[in-house]
Amino acid sequence: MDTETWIWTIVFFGGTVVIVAFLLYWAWKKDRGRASGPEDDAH
Amino acid sequence: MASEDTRSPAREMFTSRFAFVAAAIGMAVGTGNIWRFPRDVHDWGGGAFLLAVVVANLVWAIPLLMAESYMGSKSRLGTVGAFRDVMGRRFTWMGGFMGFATIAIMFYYSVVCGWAIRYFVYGITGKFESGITVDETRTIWEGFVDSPAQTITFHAIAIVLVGLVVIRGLKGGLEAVLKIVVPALFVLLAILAVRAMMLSGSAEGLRYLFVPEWGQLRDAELWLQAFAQMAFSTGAGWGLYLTYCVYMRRREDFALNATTIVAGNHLASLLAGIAVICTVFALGGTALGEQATGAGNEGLTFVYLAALFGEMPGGTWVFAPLFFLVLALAGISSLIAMVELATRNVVDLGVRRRVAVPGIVVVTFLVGLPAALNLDYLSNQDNVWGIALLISGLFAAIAMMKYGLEQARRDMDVDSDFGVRAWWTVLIRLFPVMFAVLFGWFIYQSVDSPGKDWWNPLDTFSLATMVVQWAAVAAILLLLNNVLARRIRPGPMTTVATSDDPGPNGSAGS
Repeated sequence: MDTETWIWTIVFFGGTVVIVAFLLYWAWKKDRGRASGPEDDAH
Repeated sequence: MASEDTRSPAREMFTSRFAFVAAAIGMAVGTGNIWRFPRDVHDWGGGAFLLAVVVANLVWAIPLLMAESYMGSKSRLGTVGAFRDVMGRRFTWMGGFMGFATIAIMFYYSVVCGWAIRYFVYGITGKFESGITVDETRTIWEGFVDSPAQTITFHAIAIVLVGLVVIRGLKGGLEAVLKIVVPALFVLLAILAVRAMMLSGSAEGLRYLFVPEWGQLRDAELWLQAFAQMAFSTGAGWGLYLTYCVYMRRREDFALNATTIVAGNHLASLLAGIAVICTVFALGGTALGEQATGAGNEGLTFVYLAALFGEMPGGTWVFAPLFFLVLALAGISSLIAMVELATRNVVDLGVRRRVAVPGIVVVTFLVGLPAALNLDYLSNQDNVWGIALLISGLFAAIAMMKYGLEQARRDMDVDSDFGVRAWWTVLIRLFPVMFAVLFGWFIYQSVDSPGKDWWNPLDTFSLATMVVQWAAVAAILLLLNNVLARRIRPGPMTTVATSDDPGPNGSAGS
């Protein structure tokens, strides 16, 4: 595989993987320790 | 679902953010990610198209999904009730239009899911054996779609399977299934992508996918195709995310959730792109790769890929079944969201879920029959209601503007780590402009295409067939507006939404 293909594969695919992993980690961290309680009730 | 009665809005909530995000990503990831996205990227300049898709995700999908999530979580009602309570009783029909457009897609999407299930069955029975040719897989495809017994049977299997999930309600049905199916979908996509990359010659596929042809960015059509792909792929404007947000816990991060869902959907598209394009170019070479990507969604998937699996080591018994399983799971996870959208609206009318879901399954089966029997009809419906989703998105943006963007922004900002600042209000205000450009381009294309009778409502892909069907549905919904507004159960916002101007900018909502 040529260098140009490597670079753009890493930029687009690797970049997306890193962003998704970061967002999931962020969401997990924010959610950690939170239990469903009365504030989660719809009413 | 014992906890859901017919007098009050939805009581069930997703048990965790993971469950909610998994369900919402399952909603967004559908067959389009697997058979349309790879072709679009290949056709429109690889990385240049990807860049345009990222921009489209940022300026269109994320703001619109946030608007939908605000409407669903505030109203705790389906699309019809949400528009009534967010926008005012006179505009209830708009929620009906949004719901109908997605339900109309559900009718034929069940048929498409049936195709994927059929090909999964072909896969596990070793149909795509070593040495199978493109002509032979084309014969298999044509034999299948020309067999009403088969298309109808698998359409029925798809909608009944989904009905069995949705009837069990949120925790026991959707959440329990999607928490497993969606991560499994990503694992299987990753396996297929890695396998494709390990094939000799796959670098050519990666080149087509990722290396940008920068000159293409100057082509307006690339941008319009990227926005169209994104609008259909993310589910923004469909009302599906709005429906899932009816069950969203309080104090969720609107911006983080929407961004995670859009990014997750994009990752699924890229994995599918690698799996499909690398396989086609590695096993078929450039000439066959060009033929395959130019053969349409069904041609690429059911004819070319099916044939190429026969040439792949382990293709017949492992990778062909896995690929069609992925296609089926992606379709079913989206179909679940569509059936839930229909169910939520019917339950809001006071019907119990256990009655509503079987009714929706039967109606979907019956109304989907023409699509199962006639590919032209299916294409017509795909065109008419696919484009109508852009209108649904516009309705959601208008609803937020009427409600009060600043109030909504402040409400969303309370629990958002991503500050929901002026960028959101500006992008929602810009939405009608983006819609006008995209929709205007589409109309121009329709009228300008040589050989197409754009004025003929009986033509499968004409502008007139779309306008006539949209107008007919809108007219019926306008006539039913007051009935719907009255019959939909009250929600948490309904006490302040009995006037025509419920928003914080109006007197009733202040």
